[in-house]
Amino acid sequence: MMTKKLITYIVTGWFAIVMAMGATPQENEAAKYKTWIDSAEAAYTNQDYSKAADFYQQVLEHGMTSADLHYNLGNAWYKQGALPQAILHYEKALKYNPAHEDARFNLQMANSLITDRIEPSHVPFYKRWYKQLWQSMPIDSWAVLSIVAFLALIGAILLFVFTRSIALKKTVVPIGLLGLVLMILSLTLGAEARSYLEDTHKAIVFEPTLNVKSSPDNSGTDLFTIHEGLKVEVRQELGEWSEIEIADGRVGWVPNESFKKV
Amino acid sequence: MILPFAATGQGVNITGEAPNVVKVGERFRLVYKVDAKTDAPHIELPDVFTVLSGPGVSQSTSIQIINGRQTTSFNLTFTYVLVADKAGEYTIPAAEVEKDGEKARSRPISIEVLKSNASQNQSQAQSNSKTQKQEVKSGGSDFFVRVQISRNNIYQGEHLVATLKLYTKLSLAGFEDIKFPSFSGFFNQEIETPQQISLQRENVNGQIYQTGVIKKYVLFPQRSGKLTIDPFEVEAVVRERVRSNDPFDDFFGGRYRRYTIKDESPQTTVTVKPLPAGAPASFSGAVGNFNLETSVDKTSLKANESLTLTVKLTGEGNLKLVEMPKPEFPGDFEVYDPKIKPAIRVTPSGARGSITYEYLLIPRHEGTFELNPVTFSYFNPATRQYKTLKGQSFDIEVEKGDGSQSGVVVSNYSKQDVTNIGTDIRFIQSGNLGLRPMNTVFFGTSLFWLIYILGIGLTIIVLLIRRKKIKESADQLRMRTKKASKVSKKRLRAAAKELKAGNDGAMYEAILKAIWGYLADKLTIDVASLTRDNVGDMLKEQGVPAEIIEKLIKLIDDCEFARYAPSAAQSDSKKVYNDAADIIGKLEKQIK
Repeated sequence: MMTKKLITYIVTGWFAIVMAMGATPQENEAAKYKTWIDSAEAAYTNQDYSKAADFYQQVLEHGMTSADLHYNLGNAWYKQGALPQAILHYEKALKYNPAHEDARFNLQMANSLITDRIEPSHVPFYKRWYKQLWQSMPIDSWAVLSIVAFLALIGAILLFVFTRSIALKKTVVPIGLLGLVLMILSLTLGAEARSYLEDTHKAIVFEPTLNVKSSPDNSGTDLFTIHEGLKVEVRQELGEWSEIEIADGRVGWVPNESFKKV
Repeated sequence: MILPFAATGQGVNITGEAPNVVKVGERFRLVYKVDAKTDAPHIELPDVFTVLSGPGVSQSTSIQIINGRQTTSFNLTFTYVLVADKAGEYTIPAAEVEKDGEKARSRPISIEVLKSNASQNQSQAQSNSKTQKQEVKSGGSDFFVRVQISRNNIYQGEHLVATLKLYTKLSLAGFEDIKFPSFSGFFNQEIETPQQISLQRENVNGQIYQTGVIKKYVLFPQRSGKLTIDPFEVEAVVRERVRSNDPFDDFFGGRYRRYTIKDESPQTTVTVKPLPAGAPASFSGAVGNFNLETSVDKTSLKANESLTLTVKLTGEGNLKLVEMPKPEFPGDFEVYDPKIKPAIRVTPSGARGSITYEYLLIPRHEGTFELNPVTFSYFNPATRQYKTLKGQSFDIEVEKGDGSQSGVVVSNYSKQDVTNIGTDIRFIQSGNLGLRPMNTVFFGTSLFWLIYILGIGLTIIVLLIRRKKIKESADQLRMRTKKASKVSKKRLRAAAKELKAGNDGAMYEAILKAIWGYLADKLTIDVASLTRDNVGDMLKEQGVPAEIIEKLIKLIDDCEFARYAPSAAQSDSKKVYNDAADIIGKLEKQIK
């Protein structure tokens, strides 16, 4: 009898913690952000895109963020014709929420307008599936799912131990197994999403025309030319220069100020 | 010079042949061929011609059997040998023959007569050619080829005729090789010429040459600028008679020498002007002079029936290259690709004819529709202007169709794909956007892992507690027995002392005291209110079995008796002590 009570306490305690994670910021702060976002929305609807971008940027500068915020900011830049900024913010939106359908669509639109067309090297189908899987939910959905699965597993174990009914014991076993599998899966995928979120190697080219050099100085041989809006991978940094890799695997050096990290 | 002429008419046919050009004093032959047996034709020769001999009559019959079919052709040839007296251009009027009342006339023949001094040059040229005894001779004035173009300065898309022509004074036995030019920059179409090259006499700068047209092309320049027609090359075999002093040689026809001669035409350049600016929107490169006719086969019909719009473009120019602008049809009409019927003839005056476009239309719903006029633009090089032709517009009345027919014709016309008209990014998200302070991701934080650790820890604790509890409940029975003996031992401690000392009376008293004290404790009542009689009932209420109660009462009775009459007591004091201990232990087990 006492143990049952204890379990109830623990479960409610966990839920309280989980709920607390999604808590909104301070009330008065929230009202301020809300006005900015509303003004930005009004400006965007009136096609005053630079004003909308300013408002969104203001919210960002106050240390607040969300996938939708970056998405809206990306749209405001796109409408002003600033493709690199738009692509940067769409990428950021996808970083916060890989399952953001609209951001993915608009990123595709923006990418279709940039100069460079690069055939990406071939990705095996299982890697593509894996990517699609972990991108199907925002990262904290994976966290919540893993905890729910974990609770289901614990509940199943305790029920199995405490109950005297054979029928209940039998039903509880598959539930526990399912919980275990789901927990491991969501932990793995969540870890993947987190590593993507913390990855600081992706960058967007901001220079209209950028010659990629063979060595980290201006006298290096020009290897190839890329243009603004292209997504590159930063491999290493050396003073004022960074070594980048483009989607088809070619590598070269560019100055640090020519790109912005996602 | 003289070609066979197949006369296959039912009636009488007559053809006349004579060289185009002759010299004064030169003998030449005028030949009439008739395909039936008749009298000599009636001719009225101009005065300048004198008949030296004739008509010489020869007759030939040829029988052909092809696949068992036999055809017979008959030829009667009348040959006149004439000589001209004076230079000038003359026409021999039509000759007439008659057979069985049926009359036939030949075409008039025109002959150009040149002054005779040209003959000197000719003989000189001949002697020249004799001295050069090479195997392959190149050109010279006796043999040359030319590309003649009809015009030199044209608009892009306008036609010109290129004639590949051969000039010779030598007698040719055949051609070895002809290299045709590639007309790069032109769209070329060949004009049909006879397979066999017929040589004609022609006056070139006062000299008589045998000339032959090798090929004729109509060319349409595809781009502007100076376009060059590559040279073309002819290798011909010359058969030359060798003069000999031997009269027998002459008698037997003389000896002949064969050699190859070769010539290349000079390059020809054509200046092509670009089309002037200001072309209308419907212009698609047509140059020439055109006419547009449009028609529909019906103006009122039922839905799902078919309607044909015919657009006919006639005229001359680069018809083959013309692209018809696609007419606009009402959206509800199903339009099939047009059936294109070209009827184009290529003649030396360009390509002429017509192209017909037949559009099959099927209106799917009833209503009144207007077919917009078809527009077509072309450039007229003669007036140097663009011209736009407009077809007729038609009003089409469509009535409601039979339901049954629509099912038969097309069953899925009412469904349409949603087609994209434009593309744009999606609209912004509204609402509070789910704002959060930066870098607050729950997954992977220490709190996140703490939940796991707590969960696992608490589960383990719960399981451990339960395990201990199970163990304890298994030990309970043994525990209670142990406890009972402990209590009885404690209560009977005083009795045990008396037993050791051998004080039987005191021992019984101590036992009684212990039992009453124990019962009072257990039943939580005063020792004073306990009697031998009520204790049985009380114990019964506590669920103690009757057998134990009986034993207890007996023990109390024994002890009371032994206390007051110790000598009379039969029972062993040791046994009584053990019984007392046993009963207390049993009671301890029963009463909780």
